[in-house]
Amino acid sequence: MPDPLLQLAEVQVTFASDLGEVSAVDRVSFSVERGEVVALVGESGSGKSATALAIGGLLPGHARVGGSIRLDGAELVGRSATAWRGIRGRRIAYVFQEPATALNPVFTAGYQVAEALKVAGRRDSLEERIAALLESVGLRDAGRIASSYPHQLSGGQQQRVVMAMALAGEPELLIADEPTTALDVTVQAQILELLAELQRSRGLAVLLITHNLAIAARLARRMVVLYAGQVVEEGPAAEMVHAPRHPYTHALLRAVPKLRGAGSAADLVGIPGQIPSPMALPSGCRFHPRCARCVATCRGEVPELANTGSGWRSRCPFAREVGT
Amino acid sequence: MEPVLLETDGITVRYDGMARPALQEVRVAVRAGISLGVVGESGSGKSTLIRTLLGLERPVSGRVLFRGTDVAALRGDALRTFRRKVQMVFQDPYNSLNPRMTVGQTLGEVLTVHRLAARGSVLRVVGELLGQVGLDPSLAARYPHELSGGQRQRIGIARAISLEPEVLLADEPVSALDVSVQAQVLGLLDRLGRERGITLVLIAHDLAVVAAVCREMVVMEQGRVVEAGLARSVIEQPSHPYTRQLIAAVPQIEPLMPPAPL
Repeated sequence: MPDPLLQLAEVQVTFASDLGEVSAVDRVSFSVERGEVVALVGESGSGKSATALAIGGLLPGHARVGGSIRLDGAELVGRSATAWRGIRGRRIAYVFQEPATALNPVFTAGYQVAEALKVAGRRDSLEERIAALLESVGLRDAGRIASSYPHQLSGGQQQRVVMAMALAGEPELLIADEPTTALDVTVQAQILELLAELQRSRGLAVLLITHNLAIAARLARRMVVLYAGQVVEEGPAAEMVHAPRHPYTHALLRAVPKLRGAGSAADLVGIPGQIPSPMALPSGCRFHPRCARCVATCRGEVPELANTGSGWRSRCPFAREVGT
Repeated sequence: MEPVLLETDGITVRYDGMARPALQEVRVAVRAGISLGVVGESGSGKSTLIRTLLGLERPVSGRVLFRGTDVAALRGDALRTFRRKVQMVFQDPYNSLNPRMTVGQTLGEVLTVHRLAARGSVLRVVGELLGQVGLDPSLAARYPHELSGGQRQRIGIARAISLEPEVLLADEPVSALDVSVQAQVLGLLDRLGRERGITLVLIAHDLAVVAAVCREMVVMEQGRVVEAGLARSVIEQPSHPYTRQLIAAVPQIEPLMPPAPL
Protein backbone atom coordinates (compact mmCIF):
# COMPACT_ATOMS: atom_id res chain seq x y z
CA MET A 1 0.00 0.00 0.00
CA PRO A 2 1.40 3.43 -0.86
CA ASP A 3 2.07 5.88 1.94
CA PRO A 4 -0.77 8.29 2.71
CA LEU A 5 -0.08 11.85 1.58
CA LEU A 6 0.10 13.04 5.16
CA GLN A 7 0.57 10.85 8.19
CA LEU A 8 0.72 12.05 11.76
CA ALA A 9 1.86 9.50 14.34
CA GLU A 10 1.90 10.24 18.06
CA VAL A 11 2.43 13.94 17.44
CA GLN A 12 3.10 15.99 20.53
CA VAL A 13 3.39 19.75 20.78
CA THR A 14 4.64 21.31 23.98
CA PHE A 15 5.25 24.95 24.75
CA ALA A 16 7.85 26.20 27.18
CA SER A 17 6.28 28.58 29.68
CA ASP A 18 7.10 30.19 33.03
CA LEU A 19 5.26 27.33 34.68
CA GLY A 20 7.21 24.66 32.80
CA GLU A 21 6.32 22.58 29.77
CA VAL A 22 2.71 22.83 28.67
CA SER A 23 1.31 20.13 26.41
CA ALA A 24 -1.02 21.46 23.71
CA VAL A 25 -1.17 18.39 21.48
CA ASP A 26 -0.91 14.94 23.02
CA ARG A 27 -0.06 11.93 20.83
CA VAL A 28 -2.32 12.84 17.92
CA SER A 29 -2.39 10.38 15.03
CA PHE A 30 -4.36 10.54 11.80
CA SER A 31 -3.72 10.59 8.10
CA VAL A 32 -4.91 12.34 4.95
CA GLU A 33 -4.99 10.45 1.67
CA ARG A 34 -4.31 12.09 -1.70
CA GLY A 35 -7.32 14.09 -2.85
CA GLU A 36 -9.15 13.57 0.41
CA VAL A 37 -10.85 16.19 2.58
CA VAL A 38 -10.37 15.54 6.28
CA ALA A 39 -11.90 17.82 8.91
CA LEU A 40 -10.09 18.49 12.17
CA VAL A 41 -12.80 19.59 14.55
CA GLY A 42 -12.51 21.12 17.99
CA GLU A 43 -13.06 24.19 20.11
CA SER A 44 -10.61 26.81 21.34
CA GLY A 45 -7.95 25.03 23.34
CA SER A 46 -8.49 21.68 21.64
CA GLY A 47 -5.08 21.80 19.96
CA LYS A 48 -6.39 21.94 16.40
CA SER A 49 -4.46 25.02 15.34
CA ALA A 50 -1.26 23.86 17.05
CA THR A 51 -1.58 20.60 15.10
CA ALA A 52 -2.14 22.49 11.85
CA LEU A 53 0.89 24.72 12.42
CA ALA A 54 3.07 21.77 13.43
CA ILE A 55 2.44 20.11 10.05
CA GLY A 56 3.99 23.04 8.16
CA GLY A 57 6.72 23.68 10.72
CA LEU A 58 5.15 27.05 11.53
CA LEU A 59 5.13 26.88 15.33
CA PRO A 60 7.06 29.54 17.25
CA GLY A 61 10.53 28.86 18.64
CA HIS A 62 9.43 27.99 22.15
CA ALA A 63 7.32 25.09 20.87
CA ARG A 64 8.65 21.55 20.68
CA VAL A 65 7.25 18.96 18.31
CA GLY A 66 7.55 15.26 19.04
CA GLY A 67 6.37 12.17 17.19
CA SER A 68 6.30 11.85 13.45
CA ILE A 69 4.71 13.88 10.65
CA ARG A 70 5.32 12.34 7.24
CA LEU A 71 4.53 13.86 3.87
CA ASP A 72 4.50 11.16 1.23
CA GLY A 73 6.64 9.05 3.53
CA ALA A 74 9.26 11.76 4.19
CA GLU A 75 9.71 12.93 7.79
CA LEU A 76 8.93 16.61 8.41
CA VAL A 77 9.63 16.78 12.15
CA GLY A 78 13.08 18.18 12.94
CA ARG A 79 13.75 19.72 9.52
CA SER A 80 16.02 22.73 9.27
CA ALA A 81 14.71 26.00 7.87
CA THR A 82 16.37 25.37 4.50
CA ALA A 83 14.95 21.86 4.32
CA TRP A 84 11.48 23.37 4.53
CA ARG A 85 11.99 25.13 1.22
CA GLY A 86 10.38 23.19 -1.53
CA ILE A 87 7.73 21.91 0.86
CA ARG A 88 5.95 24.87 2.36
CA GLY A 89 4.10 26.77 -0.36
CA ARG A 90 4.87 24.09 -2.94
CA ARG A 91 3.57 20.86 -1.48
CA ILE A 92 1.73 22.16 1.58
CA ALA A 93 -0.11 25.49 1.49
CA TYR A 94 -2.16 27.32 4.09
CA VAL A 95 -5.28 29.47 4.13
CA PHE A 96 -6.05 31.19 7.43
CA GLN A 97 -9.10 32.75 8.99
CA GLU A 98 -8.60 36.47 8.39
CA PRO A 99 -7.84 37.19 4.72
CA ALA A 100 -7.26 40.86 5.54
CA THR A 101 -4.30 39.99 7.75
CA ALA A 102 -2.88 37.46 5.28
CA LEU A 103 -2.63 40.12 2.57
CA ASN A 104 -0.20 43.02 2.58
CA PRO A 105 -2.25 46.24 2.45
CA VAL A 106 0.31 48.22 0.41
CA PHE A 107 0.61 45.84 -2.56
CA THR A 108 -1.97 44.99 -5.20
CA ALA A 109 -3.56 41.54 -5.28
CA GLY A 110 -1.79 40.80 -8.57
CA TYR A 111 1.64 41.71 -7.12
CA GLN A 112 1.07 39.39 -4.17
CA VAL A 113 -0.04 36.49 -6.37
CA ALA A 114 3.07 37.13 -8.51
CA GLU A 115 5.27 36.93 -5.39
CA ALA A 116 3.66 33.61 -4.48
CA LEU A 117 4.36 32.34 -8.01
CA LYS A 118 8.01 33.43 -7.84
CA VAL A 119 8.50 31.76 -4.47
CA ALA A 120 7.04 28.63 -6.01
CA GLY A 121 9.66 28.88 -8.77
CA ARG A 122 7.24 29.81 -11.52
CA ARG A 123 8.75 32.95 -12.98
CA ASP A 124 7.80 32.71 -16.66
CA SER A 125 4.64 34.21 -18.19
CA LEU A 126 3.60 35.69 -14.86
CA GLU A 127 0.74 37.79 -16.27
CA GLU A 128 -1.01 34.77 -17.73
CA ARG A 129 -0.42 32.67 -14.64
CA ILE A 130 -1.86 35.38 -12.36
CA ALA A 131 -4.98 35.68 -14.48
CA ALA A 132 -5.40 31.91 -14.66
CA LEU A 133 -5.00 31.54 -10.88
CA LEU A 134 -7.48 34.31 -10.10
CA GLU A 135 -9.96 32.78 -12.51
CA SER A 136 -9.47 29.33 -11.00
CA VAL A 137 -10.67 30.67 -7.64
CA GLY A 138 -13.78 32.13 -9.20
CA LEU A 139 -12.61 35.73 -9.65
CA ARG A 140 -13.97 36.44 -13.10
CA ASP A 141 -12.78 40.01 -13.58
CA ALA A 142 -9.16 38.93 -13.05
CA GLY A 143 -7.61 42.07 -14.56
CA ARG A 144 -9.46 44.46 -12.27
CA ILE A 145 -8.90 42.26 -9.19
CA ALA A 146 -5.16 41.98 -9.94
CA SER A 147 -4.77 45.77 -9.98
CA SER A 148 -6.83 46.26 -6.79
CA TYR A 149 -5.43 46.79 -3.30
CA PRO A 150 -6.80 44.53 -0.55
CA HIS A 151 -9.00 47.28 0.95
CA GLN A 152 -10.73 47.67 -2.41
CA LEU A 153 -11.87 44.04 -2.28
CA SER A 154 -14.68 42.43 -0.31
CA GLY A 155 -13.90 39.83 2.37
CA GLY A 156 -14.88 37.03 0.01
CA GLN A 157 -12.70 38.39 -2.80
CA GLN A 158 -9.78 38.75 -0.37
CA GLN A 159 -10.13 35.14 0.74
CA ARG A 160 -10.21 34.04 -2.92
CA VAL A 161 -6.99 35.98 -3.57
CA VAL A 162 -5.41 34.24 -0.56
CA MET A 163 -6.52 30.91 -2.01
CA ALA A 164 -5.04 31.83 -5.40
CA MET A 165 -1.71 32.52 -3.64
CA ALA A 166 -1.96 29.19 -1.83
CA LEU A 167 -2.52 27.40 -5.15
CA ALA A 168 0.42 29.18 -6.86
CA GLY A 169 2.81 26.36 -6.01
CA GLU A 170 0.31 23.69 -7.05
CA PRO A 171 0.34 22.10 -3.60
CA GLU A 172 -0.87 18.58 -2.93
CA LEU A 173 -2.19 19.50 0.51
CA LEU A 174 -4.11 22.62 1.50
CA ILE A 175 -4.45 23.31 5.20
CA ALA A 176 -7.45 25.58 5.67
CA ASP A 177 -7.68 26.88 9.26
CA GLU A 178 -11.21 28.26 9.84
CA PRO A 179 -11.15 29.71 6.30
CA THR A 180 -14.72 31.05 6.45
CA THR A 181 -15.20 32.06 10.08
CA ALA A 182 -14.63 35.76 9.42
CA LEU A 183 -16.93 35.86 6.38
CA ASP A 184 -20.62 36.55 5.86
CA VAL A 185 -22.77 33.47 5.64
CA THR A 186 -23.54 33.68 1.90
CA VAL A 187 -19.85 34.29 1.15
CA GLN A 188 -18.94 31.40 3.44
CA ALA A 189 -21.14 29.10 1.36
CA GLN A 190 -19.37 30.23 -1.83
CA ILE A 191 -15.88 29.69 -0.40
CA LEU A 192 -16.82 26.21 0.83
CA GLU A 193 -18.17 25.39 -2.62
CA LEU A 194 -14.89 26.62 -4.10
CA LEU A 195 -12.87 24.37 -1.78
CA ALA A 196 -15.01 21.39 -2.79
CA GLU A 197 -14.56 22.31 -6.46
CA LEU A 198 -10.75 22.59 -6.12
CA GLN A 199 -10.64 19.24 -4.40
CA ARG A 200 -12.60 17.65 -7.27
CA SER A 201 -10.87 19.37 -10.18
CA ARG A 202 -7.28 19.34 -8.93
CA GLY A 203 -7.35 16.30 -6.72
CA LEU A 204 -6.25 18.61 -3.91
CA ALA A 205 -6.14 17.08 -0.43
CA VAL A 206 -7.60 19.43 2.17
CA LEU A 207 -7.17 19.43 5.92
CA LEU A 208 -10.08 21.60 7.01
CA ILE A 209 -9.84 22.97 10.52
CA THR A 210 -13.15 24.12 11.91
CA HIS A 211 -15.26 24.27 15.05
CA ASN A 212 -18.43 23.97 12.97
CA LEU A 213 -19.57 20.36 12.58
CA ALA A 214 -22.06 21.23 9.85
CA ILE A 215 -19.26 22.68 7.72
CA ALA A 216 -17.09 19.65 8.44
CA ALA A 217 -19.85 17.27 7.38
CA ARG A 218 -20.57 19.25 4.23
CA LEU A 219 -17.02 19.04 2.92
CA ALA A 220 -15.11 16.24 4.56
CA ARG A 221 -15.11 12.50 4.01
CA ARG A 222 -13.55 11.85 7.38
CA MET A 223 -13.59 13.80 10.60
CA VAL A 224 -11.11 13.90 13.47
CA VAL A 225 -12.46 15.38 16.71
CA LEU A 226 -9.97 16.86 19.17
CA TYR A 227 -10.57 17.60 22.84
CA ALA A 228 -7.98 19.03 25.22
CA GLY A 229 -5.14 18.08 22.88
CA GLN A 230 -6.23 14.52 22.19
CA VAL A 231 -8.15 12.78 19.42
CA VAL A 232 -11.42 11.64 21.00
CA GLU A 233 -13.10 10.36 17.87
CA GLU A 234 -12.27 9.72 14.23
CA GLY A 235 -14.55 8.30 11.58
CA PRO A 236 -16.67 8.85 8.48
CA ALA A 237 -18.01 12.43 8.64
CA ALA A 238 -21.48 11.85 7.22
CA GLU A 239 -22.21 9.02 9.63
CA MET A 240 -20.55 10.62 12.62
CA VAL A 241 -22.81 13.68 12.61
CA HIS A 242 -25.84 11.41 12.90
CA ALA A 243 -24.49 8.69 15.16
CA PRO A 244 -21.38 9.90 17.01
CA ARG A 245 -19.42 7.44 19.10
CA HIS A 246 -17.98 9.85 21.64
CA PRO A 247 -20.03 11.88 24.16
CA TYR A 248 -18.07 15.05 23.32
CA THR A 249 -18.96 14.83 19.61
CA HIS A 250 -22.53 14.14 20.65
CA ALA A 251 -22.59 17.18 22.93
CA LEU A 252 -21.05 19.39 20.24
CA LEU A 253 -23.73 18.30 17.79
CA ARG A 254 -26.49 19.12 20.24
CA ALA A 255 -25.03 22.60 20.75
CA VAL A 256 -25.33 23.57 17.07
CA PRO A 257 -28.41 25.79 16.57
CA LYS A 258 -30.81 24.23 14.09
CA LEU A 259 -32.58 26.28 11.48
CA ARG A 260 -35.64 24.10 11.23
CA GLY A 261 -37.46 22.03 13.77
CA ALA A 262 -35.93 24.08 16.55
CA GLY A 263 -38.28 24.74 19.42
CA SER A 264 -36.56 27.41 21.44
CA ALA A 265 -33.31 28.26 23.13
CA ALA A 266 -34.31 25.73 25.76
CA ASP A 267 -33.63 23.02 23.17
CA LEU A 268 -30.12 24.29 22.66
CA VAL A 269 -27.92 22.29 24.94
CA GLY A 270 -24.60 23.85 25.77
CA ILE A 271 -21.78 21.79 27.23
CA PRO A 272 -21.42 22.72 30.89
CA GLY A 273 -18.05 24.06 31.99
CA GLN A 274 -15.18 24.63 29.62
CA ILE A 275 -12.16 22.91 28.08
CA PRO A 276 -9.63 22.30 30.85
CA SER A 277 -6.42 24.27 30.91
CA PRO A 278 -3.43 22.17 29.76
CA MET A 279 -1.92 23.03 33.15
CA ALA A 280 -4.80 21.46 35.06
CA LEU A 281 -5.97 18.41 33.17
CA PRO A 282 -8.51 16.22 34.95
CA SER A 283 -7.66 12.66 35.94
CA GLY A 284 -8.90 9.76 33.83
CA CYS A 285 -10.88 10.81 30.76
CA ARG A 286 -10.20 14.47 30.02
CA PHE A 287 -13.85 15.04 29.16
CA HIS A 288 -15.29 13.39 32.27
CA PRO A 289 -16.09 16.56 34.30
CA ARG A 290 -18.37 17.76 31.48
CA CYS A 291 -19.74 14.40 30.38
CA ALA A 292 -23.36 13.42 30.92
CA ARG A 293 -22.47 9.71 30.83
CA CYS A 294 -19.60 9.85 33.29
CA VAL A 295 -19.24 6.87 35.64
CA ALA A 296 -16.67 6.09 38.34
CA THR A 297 -14.13 4.45 36.01
CA CYS A 298 -14.07 7.58 33.80
CA ARG A 299 -12.54 9.53 36.69
CA GLY A 300 -9.80 7.05 37.37
CA GLU A 301 -8.86 5.30 34.14
CA VAL A 302 -7.42 6.96 31.06
CA PRO A 303 -9.43 5.60 28.10
CA GLU A 304 -7.59 4.41 25.01
CA LEU A 305 -8.47 5.54 21.51
CA ALA A 306 -9.93 2.22 20.41
CA ASN A 307 -11.07 0.88 17.06
CA THR A 308 -14.82 0.58 16.93
CA GLY A 309 -14.98 -0.88 13.43
CA SER A 310 -14.74 0.29 9.79
CA GLY A 311 -12.11 2.98 10.25
CA TRP A 312 -13.85 4.47 13.23
CA ARG A 313 -12.03 5.18 16.49
CA SER A 314 -13.38 6.45 19.81
CA ARG A 315 -11.80 7.28 23.14
CA CYS A 316 -14.89 6.24 25.08
CA PRO A 317 -15.54 2.76 26.47
CA PHE A 318 -19.25 3.39 25.91
CA ALA A 319 -18.75 4.28 22.23
CA ARG A 320 -21.62 2.13 21.05
CA GLU A 321 -24.13 3.62 23.48
CA VAL A 322 -23.46 7.28 22.73
CA GLY A 323 -26.44 9.10 21.30
CA THR A 324 -28.89 6.41 22.28
CA MET B 1 -51.27 43.43 21.79
CA GLU B 2 -48.08 44.04 23.77
CA PRO B 3 -47.05 47.68 24.14
CA VAL B 4 -44.29 48.94 21.85
CA LEU B 5 -41.12 49.78 23.79
CA LEU B 6 -38.83 50.96 21.07
CA GLU B 7 -39.59 51.65 17.43
CA THR B 8 -38.44 53.43 14.32
CA ASP B 9 -41.08 55.01 12.12
CA GLY B 10 -39.32 54.75 8.75
CA ILE B 11 -35.90 56.18 9.49
CA THR B 12 -33.27 57.09 6.94
CA VAL B 13 -29.66 57.44 8.07
CA ARG B 14 -26.97 58.80 5.82
CA TYR B 15 -23.22 58.95 6.33
CA ASP B 16 -21.15 61.68 4.67
CA GLY B 17 -19.53 60.59 1.46
CA MET B 18 -21.63 57.46 1.04
CA ALA B 19 -23.68 57.21 -2.15
CA ARG B 20 -26.41 55.09 -0.60
CA PRO B 21 -28.06 55.78 2.76
CA ALA B 22 -26.99 53.35 5.49
CA LEU B 23 -30.65 52.92 6.40
CA GLN B 24 -33.56 53.61 4.09
CA GLU B 25 -37.04 54.09 5.53
CA VAL B 26 -36.53 51.38 8.10
CA ARG B 27 -39.49 50.47 10.25
CA VAL B 28 -39.01 48.14 13.21
CA ALA B 29 -40.99 47.80 16.42
CA VAL B 30 -39.77 46.14 19.59
CA ARG B 31 -42.81 45.01 21.55
CA ALA B 32 -42.58 44.16 25.24
CA GLY B 33 -41.67 40.55 25.83
CA ILE B 34 -41.32 39.65 22.15
CA SER B 35 -37.70 38.99 21.27
CA LEU B 36 -36.73 40.39 17.90
CA GLY B 37 -33.95 39.12 15.66
CA VAL B 38 -32.28 41.37 13.11
CA VAL B 39 -30.53 39.39 10.39
CA GLY B 40 -28.23 40.69 7.74
CA GLU B 41 -24.70 40.57 6.38
CA SER B 42 -21.94 43.17 6.17
CA GLY B 43 -23.36 46.38 4.73
CA SER B 44 -26.96 45.48 5.54
CA GLY B 45 -27.23 48.39 7.97
CA LYS B 46 -27.82 46.32 11.08
CA SER B 47 -25.03 47.99 13.07
CA THR B 48 -26.28 51.43 12.03
CA LEU B 49 -29.75 50.39 13.15
CA ILE B 50 -28.43 49.56 16.63
CA ARG B 51 -26.50 52.81 16.89
CA THR B 52 -29.61 54.70 15.88
CA LEU B 53 -31.81 52.80 18.35
CA LEU B 54 -29.36 53.75 21.09
CA GLY B 55 -29.60 57.39 20.05
CA LEU B 56 -25.98 57.48 18.85
CA GLU B 57 -26.88 58.32 15.24
CA ARG B 58 -29.42 60.93 14.14
CA PRO B 59 -31.70 59.91 11.28
CA VAL B 60 -32.03 62.48 8.50
CA SER B 61 -35.70 61.63 8.41
CA GLY B 62 -37.96 59.62 10.67
CA ARG B 63 -37.81 59.20 14.42
CA VAL B 64 -36.76 56.67 17.04
CA LEU B 65 -39.46 56.39 19.67
CA PHE B 66 -39.00 55.02 23.19
CA ARG B 67 -42.39 54.35 24.71
CA GLY B 68 -43.87 56.75 22.22
CA THR B 69 -41.46 59.65 22.85
CA ASP B 70 -38.95 60.86 20.26
CA VAL B 71 -35.53 59.89 21.58
CA ALA B 72 -33.96 62.99 19.99
CA ALA B 73 -36.15 65.18 22.21
CA LEU B 74 -35.17 63.50 25.50
CA ARG B 75 -33.33 65.67 28.02
CA GLY B 76 -32.23 65.44 31.64
CA ASP B 77 -33.82 62.69 33.71
CA ALA B 78 -35.84 61.36 30.78
CA LEU B 79 -32.64 60.90 28.76
CA ARG B 80 -30.91 59.20 31.70
CA THR B 81 -33.85 56.84 32.09
CA PHE B 82 -33.73 55.99 28.38
CA ARG B 83 -29.98 55.35 28.56
CA ARG B 84 -30.56 53.00 31.47
CA LYS B 85 -33.58 51.20 30.07
CA VAL B 86 -31.97 50.38 26.72
CA GLN B 87 -28.75 48.43 27.24
CA MET B 88 -26.21 46.91 24.92
CA VAL B 89 -24.17 43.71 24.77
CA PHE B 90 -21.26 43.76 22.34
CA GLN B 91 -19.73 41.08 20.14
CA ASP B 92 -16.38 41.10 21.86
CA PRO B 93 -16.71 42.07 25.50
CA TYR B 94 -12.93 42.13 25.81
CA ASN B 95 -12.89 45.48 24.04
CA SER B 96 -15.56 46.89 26.30
CA LEU B 97 -14.13 45.84 29.67
CA ASN B 98 -11.43 47.93 31.34
CA PRO B 99 -8.34 45.67 31.50
CA ARG B 100 -7.11 47.37 34.69
CA MET B 101 -10.30 46.86 36.64
CA THR B 102 -11.45 43.64 38.25
CA VAL B 103 -14.84 42.27 37.31
CA GLY B 104 -16.12 43.38 40.73
CA GLN B 105 -14.83 46.94 40.24
CA THR B 106 -16.38 47.17 36.76
CA LEU B 107 -19.78 45.97 37.90
CA GLY B 108 -19.57 47.92 41.16
CA GLU B 109 -18.84 51.18 39.34
CA VAL B 110 -21.96 50.83 37.22
CA LEU B 111 -24.06 50.20 40.33
CA THR B 112 -22.56 53.18 42.20
CA VAL B 113 -22.81 55.65 39.32
CA HIS B 114 -26.46 54.81 38.77
CA ARG B 115 -27.11 54.65 42.54
CA LEU B 116 -28.51 51.15 42.23
CA ALA B 117 -26.78 49.82 45.32
CA ALA B 118 -25.85 51.47 48.57
CA ARG B 119 -22.11 51.64 49.29
CA GLY B 120 -22.28 48.83 51.83
CA SER B 121 -24.22 46.48 49.61
CA VAL B 122 -22.26 46.76 46.33
CA LEU B 123 -20.29 43.57 46.93
CA ARG B 124 -23.41 41.59 47.68
CA VAL B 125 -25.23 42.90 44.59
CA VAL B 126 -22.20 42.15 42.40
CA GLY B 127 -22.22 38.59 43.73
CA GLU B 128 -25.91 38.28 42.94
CA LEU B 129 -25.40 39.60 39.42
CA LEU B 130 -22.63 37.10 38.76
CA GLY B 131 -24.89 34.33 40.04
CA GLN B 132 -27.67 35.43 37.70
CA VAL B 133 -25.44 35.05 34.65
CA GLY B 134 -24.23 31.65 35.82
CA LEU B 135 -20.83 32.69 37.16
CA ASP B 136 -19.22 31.99 40.50
CA PRO B 137 -19.21 35.13 42.72
CA SER B 138 -15.49 34.56 43.34
CA LEU B 139 -14.84 35.77 39.77
CA ALA B 140 -15.37 39.31 41.06
CA ALA B 141 -11.69 39.40 42.02
CA ARG B 142 -10.47 38.51 38.51
CA TYR B 143 -9.28 40.73 35.67
CA PRO B 144 -10.76 40.41 32.15
CA HIS B 145 -7.65 38.71 30.73
CA GLU B 146 -8.02 35.93 33.29
CA LEU B 147 -11.42 34.97 31.91
CA SER B 148 -12.51 32.84 28.95
CA GLY B 149 -14.49 34.35 26.07
CA GLY B 150 -17.72 32.90 27.39
CA GLN B 151 -17.10 34.22 30.90
CA ARG B 152 -16.32 37.69 29.52
CA GLN B 153 -19.52 37.68 27.52
CA ARG B 154 -21.42 36.77 30.69
CA ILE B 155 -19.78 39.74 32.45
CA GLY B 156 -20.92 41.98 29.58
CA ILE B 157 -24.44 40.65 30.07
CA ALA B 158 -24.23 41.10 33.87
CA ARG B 159 -23.19 44.72 33.40
CA ALA B 160 -26.08 45.35 31.02
CA ILE B 161 -28.73 43.75 33.24
CA SER B 162 -27.38 45.44 36.39
CA LEU B 163 -29.19 48.58 35.17
CA GLU B 164 -32.49 46.71 35.03
CA PRO B 165 -33.11 47.52 31.37
CA GLU B 166 -36.33 46.94 29.50
CA VAL B 167 -34.58 46.37 26.18
CA LEU B 168 -31.30 44.54 25.67
CA LEU B 169 -29.62 45.07 22.29
CA ALA B 170 -27.16 42.26 21.66
CA ASP B 171 -24.89 42.73 18.62
CA GLU B 172 -23.55 39.36 17.45
CA PRO B 173 -23.14 38.29 21.09
CA VAL B 174 -22.07 34.74 20.29
CA SER B 175 -20.32 34.92 16.94
CA ALA B 176 -16.87 35.07 18.58
CA LEU B 177 -17.59 32.10 20.86
CA ASP B 178 -17.15 28.36 20.50
CA VAL B 179 -20.27 26.46 19.62
CA SER B 180 -20.71 24.82 23.05
CA VAL B 181 -20.36 28.21 24.75
CA GLN B 182 -22.69 29.83 22.19
CA ALA B 183 -25.48 27.55 23.29
CA GLN B 184 -24.89 28.47 26.94
CA VAL B 185 -24.94 32.22 26.26
CA LEU B 186 -28.02 32.01 24.01
CA GLY B 187 -29.78 30.00 26.71
CA LEU B 188 -28.82 32.66 29.26
CA LEU B 189 -30.16 35.53 27.11
CA ASP B 190 -33.38 33.61 26.56
CA ARG B 191 -33.78 32.88 30.28
CA LEU B 192 -33.07 36.48 31.33
CA GLY B 193 -35.70 37.67 28.90
CA ARG B 194 -38.33 35.40 30.35
CA GLU B 195 -37.44 35.71 34.02
CA ARG B 196 -36.61 39.40 34.26
CA GLY B 197 -38.95 40.82 31.66
CA ILE B 198 -36.14 42.08 29.46
CA THR B 199 -36.95 42.25 25.77
CA LEU B 200 -34.11 41.02 23.65
CA VAL B 201 -33.10 42.47 20.30
CA LEU B 202 -30.57 40.09 18.81
CA ILE B 203 -28.49 41.14 15.86
CA ALA B 204 -26.89 38.21 14.09
CA HIS B 205 -25.76 37.05 10.68
CA ASP B 206 -26.56 33.44 11.59
CA LEU B 207 -30.23 32.72 10.98
CA ALA B 208 -30.07 29.57 13.09
CA VAL B 209 -29.00 31.63 16.12
CA VAL B 210 -31.95 33.97 15.62
CA ALA B 211 -34.29 31.03 15.07
CA ALA B 212 -33.24 29.56 18.41
CA VAL B 213 -33.96 32.65 20.49
CA CYS B 214 -36.26 35.13 18.73
CA ARG B 215 -40.00 35.14 18.21
CA GLU B 216 -39.97 37.75 15.47
CA MET B 217 -37.36 38.72 12.96
CA VAL B 218 -36.50 41.25 10.30
CA VAL B 219 -34.14 40.57 7.42
CA MET B 220 -32.05 43.50 6.23
CA GLU B 221 -30.24 43.97 2.95
CA GLN B 222 -28.40 47.12 1.86
CA GLY B 223 -30.06 49.39 4.38
CA ARG B 224 -33.61 48.15 3.86
CA VAL B 225 -35.86 45.72 5.66
CA VAL B 226 -36.68 43.17 2.97
CA GLU B 227 -38.71 40.79 5.09
CA ALA B 228 -40.31 40.80 8.55
CA GLY B 229 -42.54 38.48 10.51
CA LEU B 230 -42.61 35.60 12.95
CA ALA B 231 -39.14 34.04 12.93
CA ARG B 232 -40.54 30.58 12.34
CA SER B 233 -42.70 31.65 9.40
CA VAL B 234 -39.87 33.58 7.79
CA ILE B 235 -37.63 30.52 7.96
CA GLU B 236 -40.29 28.03 6.89
CA GLN B 237 -41.78 30.20 4.15
CA PRO B 238 -39.39 32.96 3.13
CA SER B 239 -40.92 35.32 0.60
CA HIS B 240 -37.91 37.45 -0.38
CA PRO B 241 -35.18 35.97 -2.60
CA TYR B 242 -32.45 37.35 -0.32
CA THR B 243 -33.98 35.58 2.69
CA ARG B 244 -34.05 32.35 0.70
CA GLN B 245 -30.39 32.88 -0.22
CA LEU B 246 -29.48 33.43 3.44
CA ILE B 247 -31.35 30.32 4.53
CA ALA B 248 -29.68 28.19 1.88
CA ALA B 249 -26.26 29.44 2.99
CA VAL B 250 -26.53 28.40 6.65
CA PRO B 251 -24.46 25.25 7.12
CA GLN B 252 -26.78 22.61 8.51
CA ILE B 253 -26.47 18.93 9.14
CA GLU B 254 -28.79 17.41 6.60
CA PRO B 255 -31.37 14.96 7.93
CA LEU B 256 -30.45 11.34 7.27
CA MET B 257 -33.74 10.50 5.57
CA PRO B 258 -36.20 12.78 3.81
CA PRO B 259 -39.29 13.23 5.98
CA ALA B 260 -41.87 10.56 5.27
CA PRO B 261 -44.80 11.77 3.14
CA LEU B 262 -48.01 12.22 5.10
